[in-house]
Amino acid sequence: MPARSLIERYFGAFAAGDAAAATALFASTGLYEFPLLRPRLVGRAEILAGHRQAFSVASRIAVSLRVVQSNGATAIVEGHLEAHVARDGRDVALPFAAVAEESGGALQRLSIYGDAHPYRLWCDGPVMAIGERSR
Amino acid sequence: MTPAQALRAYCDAFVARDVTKIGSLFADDARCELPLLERPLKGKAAIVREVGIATRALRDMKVELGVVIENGDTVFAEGIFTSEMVGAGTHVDLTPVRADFRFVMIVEMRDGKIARLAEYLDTKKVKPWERQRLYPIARLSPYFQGTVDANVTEFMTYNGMFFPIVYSRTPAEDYLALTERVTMWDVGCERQTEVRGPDALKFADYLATRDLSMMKTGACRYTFCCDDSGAIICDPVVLRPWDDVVWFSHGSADLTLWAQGIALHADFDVTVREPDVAPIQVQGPLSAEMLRGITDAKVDDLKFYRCVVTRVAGIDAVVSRTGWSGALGYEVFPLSTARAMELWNALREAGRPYDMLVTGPIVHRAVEKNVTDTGYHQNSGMNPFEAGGDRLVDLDGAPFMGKAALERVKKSGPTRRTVGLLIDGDLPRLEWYWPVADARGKQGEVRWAVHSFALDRSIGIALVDAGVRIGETVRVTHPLGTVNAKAVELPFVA
Repeated sequence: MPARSLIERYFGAFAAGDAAAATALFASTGLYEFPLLRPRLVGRAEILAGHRQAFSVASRIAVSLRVVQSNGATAIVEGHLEAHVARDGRDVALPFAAVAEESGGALQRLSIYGDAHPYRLWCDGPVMAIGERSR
Repeated sequence: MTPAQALRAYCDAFVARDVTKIGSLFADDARCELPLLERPLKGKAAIVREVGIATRALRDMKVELGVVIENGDTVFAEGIFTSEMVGAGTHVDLTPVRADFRFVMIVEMRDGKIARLAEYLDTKKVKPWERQRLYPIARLSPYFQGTVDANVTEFMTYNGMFFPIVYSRTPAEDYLALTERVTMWDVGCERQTEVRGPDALKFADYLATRDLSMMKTGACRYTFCCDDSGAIICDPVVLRPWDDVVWFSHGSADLTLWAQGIALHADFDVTVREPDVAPIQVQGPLSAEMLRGITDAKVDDLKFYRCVVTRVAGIDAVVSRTGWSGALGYEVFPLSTARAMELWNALREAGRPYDMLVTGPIVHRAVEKNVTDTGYHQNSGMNPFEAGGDRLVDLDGAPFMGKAALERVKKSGPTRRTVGLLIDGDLPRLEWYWPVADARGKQGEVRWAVHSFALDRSIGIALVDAGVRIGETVRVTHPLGTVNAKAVELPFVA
């Protein structure tokens, strides 16, 4: 699957709050970076756990993609993310850009760029420390 | 020029600090979305101004672009930006304060010019996450919530009150707002020692080293207050807003207790107290224009070191043309804190058309202009002659506190002097005074040290042995090492 399709499908799954579908798009050693999830997530187990944590605190997720540009193996998108974070009782509005790198039909890297300064992290606690235990 | 060429040209010009080149890349009605700014920039002039500030705030900049994808009039690029922040000192571990981040940049072209530039990055990498925690050991300013809303990050204690010093910006942004536009400072900690009664002026004259006996209502004076050994307690601005009222608007010292103690045992018909008056400073070349619309009195007519009783945003206040910038600026003294936040919000609103910034006192500028401050507990036992304040001591007039001691100093000559220093290299933040030495041994200490944006170098103000000559090279030892410094006259900038 080309990078453009992967990135569009990813944000579709993200908007639906479907952690499994979002994770399934990644290669087994895929890298995921999202400013509301502090460190990098590497591998499907961490990526799945991170998404589950995010979706457990967020609801009413909406993603709009403005422009997607691709050169085949890489795609960059500009978009806007909105969600309600029940834990914090507040809404998040995050203009973002994302870079997706495809390898073997899967996401090898998805890096989301946006300003998380106004917000608490969506993910804290044990999710970042699970390492090999949950693989 | 293709979109990719324009994007690369922008990055190259940015790291080269070539603001003219940057301006040439943009359409007149271009839009720029940079997450480090509160709102998008509209128009080439606004873009050039803000980018100009950014290029002065950072140095040793590098941009490495990774993937660049161009399609039609648009280009998307992912990259890494690295730089060092100018004038921010160092971290506690002495490593430099850096602004390093990864980003995505999007450029949209129209007729060969950039019509839109958008950058995406996480500013958590370059801005403090939250303000400093406080303890109930000092008072909160009545404007505290306003400063929190303006993203204050660091406070110091001053006159038993938390004093907002650093906001979530680079020093260059604050400096340029002060020197080119207008800034607003919460100086609620700048307390007033109020002397009221028939002998108010006479008693004020007794507290001050300067002759205040001819001071008219509506006048202000800069002076020292000394103890009986001639050591400086503080260097207040004295205001006489009403015939029978004098305020000493003072630095961090227990001046009111000192004055109350003297008044209790001296033959003056006065009462001394600290009124509920918490000032705000509005400083910068556009300060008069900004205050004009919300101040009943004609601020443009207010001469340097004059004050007037008036109303600001409908709130009773004294306004003085004084302040800690060494240039055009005003202090607003509301007569009560009951409507403090109302005043704060009205001033912020009035400042909006001028892109006013809420800042702390801007030490970089103050040191350039030799507008300093001294308090009893950290003044190195300094007397006015050592501080370079000979003109502020009137030994020919009526008695005042410390006069006899200062007469002795004048007769024998001060043993120390205040000089400027052009210091080599970069500086960490001055957390306590750095020793100054020459071949003869220790000669004094650096009491102020900053990066000068005007001179683009490190500068300091030192109290040294009277034998240190202007032009002499001395050695300054600070946490990053021992470096050379050249003694010079003050101020650094006229």
